[in-house]
Amino acid sequence: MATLDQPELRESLNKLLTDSRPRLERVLRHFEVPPEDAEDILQDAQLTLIYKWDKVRSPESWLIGTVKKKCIMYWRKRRGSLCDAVDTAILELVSVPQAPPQEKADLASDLNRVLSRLSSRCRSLLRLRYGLGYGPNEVAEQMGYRSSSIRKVTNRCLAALTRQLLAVGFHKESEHEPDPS
Amino acid sequence: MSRTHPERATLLQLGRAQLPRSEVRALIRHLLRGCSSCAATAAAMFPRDVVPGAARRTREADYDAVFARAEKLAMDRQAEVADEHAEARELLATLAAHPFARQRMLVGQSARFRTWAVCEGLIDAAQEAAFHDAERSVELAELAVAAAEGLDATAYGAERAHDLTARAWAALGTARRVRSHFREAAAAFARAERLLRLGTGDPLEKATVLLSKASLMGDQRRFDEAFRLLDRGAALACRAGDRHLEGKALIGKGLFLGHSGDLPGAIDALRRGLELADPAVEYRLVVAGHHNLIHYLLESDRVEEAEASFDRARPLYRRFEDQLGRLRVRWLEAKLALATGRLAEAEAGLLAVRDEMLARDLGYDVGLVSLDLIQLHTRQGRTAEIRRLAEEILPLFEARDVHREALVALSLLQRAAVRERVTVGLVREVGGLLGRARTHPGPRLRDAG
Repeated sequence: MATLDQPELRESLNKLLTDSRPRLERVLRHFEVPPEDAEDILQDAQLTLIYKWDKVRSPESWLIGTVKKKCIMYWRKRRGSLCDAVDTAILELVSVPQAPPQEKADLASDLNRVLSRLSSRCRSLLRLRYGLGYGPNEVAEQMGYRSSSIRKVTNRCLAALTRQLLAVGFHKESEHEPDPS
Repeated sequence: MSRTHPERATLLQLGRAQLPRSEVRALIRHLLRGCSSCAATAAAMFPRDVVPGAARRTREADYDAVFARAEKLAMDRQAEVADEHAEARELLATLAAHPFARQRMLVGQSARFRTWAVCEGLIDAAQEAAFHDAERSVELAELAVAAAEGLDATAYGAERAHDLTARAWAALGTARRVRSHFREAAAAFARAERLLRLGTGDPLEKATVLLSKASLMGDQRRFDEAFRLLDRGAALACRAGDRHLEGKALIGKGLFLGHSGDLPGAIDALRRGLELADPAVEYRLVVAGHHNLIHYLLESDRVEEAEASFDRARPLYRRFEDQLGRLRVRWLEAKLALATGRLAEAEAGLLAVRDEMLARDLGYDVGLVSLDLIQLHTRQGRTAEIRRLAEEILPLFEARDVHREALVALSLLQRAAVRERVTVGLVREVGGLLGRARTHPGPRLRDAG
């Protein structure tokens, strides 16, 4: 049976939270988590520790490791949702049926400019996706990928595209994305 | 589509996936035109690997308020959890007073019993019962699963609730394994692993499930799979800074290496595991580790090392509260006396242990002690006693569903006794084989002599 109802544990927890704070802050700074999101990460890790107090034999190491992992997951989720948003938005933009011809031409030109900075493989893949409206299986067939791996390759190309979109002002014009495969 | 710059707040919302689709579309269209100032603002919300070189706001971020609020919430929640644990003691005592059918009904129908603390208490009780009452262990683990699956995910957090439910299923897997219901045990572990994937990703939870599953693999003599799981479990425990759990994985590996016949590997793994495992956390595990280490050292003729290990383990053995445990320590002492040539002491010890085992109707152990006596008599050339004991022990093992190969080895021993050609090597080989056959069907005879 757990021993979490013993009063001295409250003191231990309090000490742990105080002692671990400098290391936790370094982790949050290292991963550049904005304070408003850092609070969720910290709270979640600390609550989990309280529930598992009896099973965790090295609480400080566990807490630091858990917060690190949550920081990684935080950015992975943010990165994934940003790539999804970019992809969905571009798919919707290129499929507007009643768009005026000039607007369509401008969009194609802007998209080509961004795609031209990507690796040739990503450029081909995303042109099939956005330009010709190919689905993942068709892209896989056209480019000679297995359908089981096309999702991973597409995600890498979307990440490269997103980087390019946001990298304006940070990258030199000549910098090109490496091949994703 | 607007060509004006979006608000900074809109860019922030893009980073949080909080924008309506139409606004995302307009924003991406704006970025596609190559607006460097908006791109820079948006980029600062993503990590370096998304946009290398982007300026961060977190360098000068002030986390003081964040820590203050998080710590206050943690302390408030600790008080609630403490209350829950205090109440759980009473609820578990209430449950214990009822027969199993009523216990199942109470857990199923009353939310009071479906709390984190009650579920953890049931899991701990199931693990404890596995050592002395496998059937009760299954019942307690089933109650733990029922309590876990009824947890309020809003109150505890869905991912945390998945972690605890996985732990309950793993406890059920262990209980079923101890009852030798291997297929049902495998199904419980598969369920536990699926639930872990929905959980917090806590490496300790994962390591614990892997170690329990490894025991199932080992009991089924699927040693390669057991070793793979134990290695992964040890690595996870090491990364999480849990030395005890890492030691537990190594002790498990040592046990199965011994069962698979790799005695040097077993001895090495057990020694490393015992350096890490903490008897204050799992006393039985550490004692079992020492016990197996001493046995494997004796089997390997490393008698001095076995004696030194026994001396180191003596304080732990003294804490044995049950008589059966004490009896096994006396048996080990007699075996050490035999190995070091103190034959009179060994004989007195083995005969006393054998008598007590007979009185307790421990037929299999009686047979194993008799094999030790045969070894002793072989050294003394007492052929009549050897023949008599060899005749006595065959029925003891035959009656207990021992694997055919072990019985063949015993018959070989019996025939050798009749021809007065028993050797110490043959007796030890048969003894080792039967010792391993107790928990694992289908051993392989290395050398039938």
